[in-house]
Amino acid sequence: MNRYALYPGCNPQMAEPELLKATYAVAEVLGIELIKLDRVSCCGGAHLQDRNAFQSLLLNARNFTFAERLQMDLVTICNTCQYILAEAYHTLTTDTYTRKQINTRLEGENLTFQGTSRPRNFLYVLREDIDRTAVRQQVRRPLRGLKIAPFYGCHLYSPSMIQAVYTDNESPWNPGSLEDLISDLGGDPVDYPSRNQCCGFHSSLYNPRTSHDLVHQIIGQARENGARVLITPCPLCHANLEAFAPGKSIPILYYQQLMGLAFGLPWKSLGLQHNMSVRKRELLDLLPVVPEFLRR
Amino acid sequence: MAPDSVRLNIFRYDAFRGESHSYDCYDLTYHQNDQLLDVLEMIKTEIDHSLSYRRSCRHGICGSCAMKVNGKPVLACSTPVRDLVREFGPKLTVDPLDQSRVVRDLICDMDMFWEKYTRSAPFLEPVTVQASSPGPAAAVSAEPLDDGKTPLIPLIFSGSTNAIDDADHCIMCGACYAACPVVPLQPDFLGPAAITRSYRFIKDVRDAHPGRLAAVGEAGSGVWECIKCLKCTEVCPKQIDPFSKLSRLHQEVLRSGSSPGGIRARHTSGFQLNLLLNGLLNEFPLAVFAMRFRMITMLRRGIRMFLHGKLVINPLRPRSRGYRQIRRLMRRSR
Amino acid sequence: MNVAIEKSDVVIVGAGLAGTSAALQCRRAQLKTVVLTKVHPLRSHSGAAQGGINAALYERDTSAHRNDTIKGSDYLADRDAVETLCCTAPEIIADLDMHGAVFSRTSEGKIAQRPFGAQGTARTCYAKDRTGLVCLQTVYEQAVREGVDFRCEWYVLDLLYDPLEGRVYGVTAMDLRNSRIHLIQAEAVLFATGGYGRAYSRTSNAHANTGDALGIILRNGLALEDMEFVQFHPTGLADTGILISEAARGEGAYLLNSSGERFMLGYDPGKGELSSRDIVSRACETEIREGRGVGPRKDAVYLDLRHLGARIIKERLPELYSMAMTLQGENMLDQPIRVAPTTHYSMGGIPTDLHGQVRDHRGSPVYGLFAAGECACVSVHGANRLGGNSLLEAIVFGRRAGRRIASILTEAAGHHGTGGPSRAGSRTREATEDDASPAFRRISNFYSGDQQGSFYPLRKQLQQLMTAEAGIFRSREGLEDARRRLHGIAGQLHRTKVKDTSPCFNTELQEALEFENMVLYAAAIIESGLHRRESRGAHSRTDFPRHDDENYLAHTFFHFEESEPVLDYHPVRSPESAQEKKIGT
Repeated sequence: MNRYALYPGCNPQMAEPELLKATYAVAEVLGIELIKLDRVSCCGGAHLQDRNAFQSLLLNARNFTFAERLQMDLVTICNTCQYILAEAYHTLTTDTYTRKQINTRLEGENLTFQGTSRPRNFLYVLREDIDRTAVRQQVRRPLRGLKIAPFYGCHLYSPSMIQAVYTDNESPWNPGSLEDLISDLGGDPVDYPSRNQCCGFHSSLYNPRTSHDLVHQIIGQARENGARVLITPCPLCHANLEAFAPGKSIPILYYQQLMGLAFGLPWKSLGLQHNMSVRKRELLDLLPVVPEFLRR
Repeated sequence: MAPDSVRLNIFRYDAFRGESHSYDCYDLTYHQNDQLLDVLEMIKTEIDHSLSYRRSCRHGICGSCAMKVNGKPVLACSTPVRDLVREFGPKLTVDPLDQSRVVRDLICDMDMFWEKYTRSAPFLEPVTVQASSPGPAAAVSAEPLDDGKTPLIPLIFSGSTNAIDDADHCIMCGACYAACPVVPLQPDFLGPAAITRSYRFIKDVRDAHPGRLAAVGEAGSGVWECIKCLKCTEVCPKQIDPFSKLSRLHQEVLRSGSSPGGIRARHTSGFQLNLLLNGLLNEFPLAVFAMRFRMITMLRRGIRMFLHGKLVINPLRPRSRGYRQIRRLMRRSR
Repeated sequence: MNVAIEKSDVVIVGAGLAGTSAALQCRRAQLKTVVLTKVHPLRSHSGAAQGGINAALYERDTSAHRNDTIKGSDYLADRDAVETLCCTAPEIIADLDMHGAVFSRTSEGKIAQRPFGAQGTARTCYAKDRTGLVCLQTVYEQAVREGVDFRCEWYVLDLLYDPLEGRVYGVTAMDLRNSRIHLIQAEAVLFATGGYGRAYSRTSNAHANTGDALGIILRNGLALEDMEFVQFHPTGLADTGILISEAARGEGAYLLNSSGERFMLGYDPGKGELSSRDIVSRACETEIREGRGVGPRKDAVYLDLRHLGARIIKERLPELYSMAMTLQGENMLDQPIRVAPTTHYSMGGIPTDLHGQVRDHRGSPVYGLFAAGECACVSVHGANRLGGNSLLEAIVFGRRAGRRIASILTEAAGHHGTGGPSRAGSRTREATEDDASPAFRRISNFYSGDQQGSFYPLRKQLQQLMTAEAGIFRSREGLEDARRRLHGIAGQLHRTKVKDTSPCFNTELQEALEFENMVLYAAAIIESGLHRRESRGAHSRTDFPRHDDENYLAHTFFHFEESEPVLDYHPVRSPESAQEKKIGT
């Protein structure tokens, strides 16, 4: 059985509960055990770093120790968590001086960063550790050519110099892992220019106009190219897309939710009641019916 | 080494003719070590002499030949075609850095880019060297050379040069500026190159120009406008990592107290306070803390979130089970 | 004719190290100064220099630097010029440092210096392997600070020159954005247009190095000096000619032939790989010609840096590492890289005195005309240049020319620096629309050719013939053949046509005009090479392999008189002529 230490982040435990629900639901179907780490701290969210980079590094070194104790890799379900943890891991494993300083502080709490747990995003765990055929086999409700737009966000695979080892060498300028997933679920992936563009989440509080313009561009282009649904791996992107979506938007789902729908999982188990951009009837109309005997 | 095939769609435009742009399509073979510029040169000298682009040094130091391939800004002279094909497949679209500023084919107007560079006061204002005074001048001490006729050259130690961290290596090619999504949306934003240039002087112990930090900390144009998408770091052909420089400036701006205050500064300090309290972040109380009365603009969204079960009002949730340990470590790393 | 006429005190052509250094001096003297540059100043080729800039900073005095330079020049350098260069060097470094240049430092905090070819002491100051970029940025930044007026992407077509009065009174230039022709009348014109390496097919030079000032000079019946001395840098990347700095050898890299031998130890047992560039280039070329070359075409030798280790390569030679990897797919850390001699620097150029004042073929000053940097010939480098001296030359003589211009102009008008409007016109001839006719004619010729063919194939032919016959090894037959073929190319050129009719960044027309200049100075190189029946420095004649001090310890002056080449010889300026041989020891 595939077992991983799950780093839950902050948003999924707060404003994006559907992400955790859908991730667990899908993991169960695929035989993945996720052990939620409940003593971890926020990764710093790309904001603490701008205030005190050392403090952020210290907290993240501590975060790794929990996965190290379980002798498992540290799995993330948020783009920014992945980016921050990957940067931290890189610094701690290449800069011996800084690592010593950090471990000196951690000693006081009987902790040591060892570097034996790598930071990996759930999307790439699925891609690298779980066979693609295994995913296809679980599909009870193939999406029958439904046009789906993947939205990657930016932190998932950047900076690529550091993250390429965790992302199966995904190119930030021409990614393909979500397209592959969509195809495996029976859908038709839609290509559009801003699929790897930033959604503007991190400055949305004080630059809402920029987020508004970026989100409109993303959703607008996806729709122009025929997409009926948009999927994303990141709770920050998801929150920002839903917050700034134009009045007439397409449903914005997590890819785990899309997987769950294709697997025939029940609506509530995927947290779909939480998505603000989803109207149940409209979304179900896009999907084929699951026969009784195939339902989970 | 057998040559390989590629299809190039190249952007063509002439401001003088004023019509809309077009793409010229070429099916070509290229060799193992051909750079994009080599292929453009071949097209220009052998097929269409009118194709125009900037280029000079051919080895990635002058910065002339920045352009976009499938949306990605690159230096044409230092980007092997084989790498582009590996990343994007055998169909490549070559565009100028900024279509909205194109003048001729792949040549854009770079005036705005240079203006922002000039605005960042990109020159050293020398500190007056006094061997016995404290402060930045202490890192530098004068050592007179032999006969006293030869000039004084201050000593500078590697810690000081390392602080600049290669920011002076920027060749001002414009790739980062073209990759930045904020630039077209917020025309006042200085952009990664100009901010990196400011960083280079802020970190130079020999510089005494006042107000550099305040300038990059200004709302509307400085480091606060960055959305942290990392595209600049992705494209920099000299691997300078402009975002990390910007992030360090962010820290300095906050430390020096010369940030614009208001919602921006409160958001960052509120974030830290929230983590001290719970170890995990709750966006709702943070937004209240940072935005204060402007929260009223988010009322509709707040209601929708509440109805969808997305609002956690309790400021003590979510809370990590390790919150006490987290608090201790945070206190000890102020 | 649609011509815009304006007046300035000074016009500087070229915004690299020499041009910008001069502009700063003129600006500080409150002169109205316009700098015309066909690329943005930071794109200038000064920025491509890698290895370093020489200065006797921590030595007892400058005599060793002087002696190394004179010996390196194969005794052709003018002694007073070398003296000036070496004595001014320390203050130049101090100045650059004061204005922000980020030099590499030693652990004691001093400016680090590395050993460079043919120099007895390590005196080459450096900034990793991007010294040129650092110097250029520093000088340009000060120009920005002082508000120097740069006109970017303006291409100079012609000089306004009155041969009867022997005086220059301005330039004709084209704004590349819209092809508009401008006449700028000025009391002083400074040429700082850099090198001419694009006349060769394997060169380290940028596309912009088309020696435009040299063509303009010849077209106006003025002279060029020592054109036959073309420096071939021994280590350019084999496939493209792009420079792999001498710094690599300075840090300890080896040159190997196909048998894995460090062949330089045979050609110069004392200095080995760090012998002077002409010697190393000839050695590499000889190894290749004699069948000991490497690579798929056996047209290269190996530069081996593996033994230096990752730390030194990544810290001191990062640019070189990434270039070899990106441009030639070779990893310095675990394989030797293929290199070959590449056309690199132009020792010859526009003859000047120690203050940048241009001289004609008789040695008389051409009033109002100045030159500095690689396009000038003072002569500091004689028959062969030392690495690290060209960045130095550009700044030293750019400044001196700027200062001389400033002092002449302020003295002439009794002007005391009020920064007022240009006083051009007080002594200078007025520029009129007719002065632009030669430039217009050159342009319209390219649209009225009777042939449908373009100049691009001709340019390629020229580059190939120069590399083959006017390259490292020359001979009478080879040079005469080159002369014949060049005449053919020149004839054909006049009948070619430019197809692009757009006025907006018409790069085809620009390259055609540049090529026209190239044909002229290529003739100067060939003729000067033919007439120098000896071997000295970078000029190597297989039929005359020895020095001939009696006849040729002199500078070649070449000019056209009614389209016919004329050569004159002027002695080396040497205040201590009796001590030449002593210096060699």
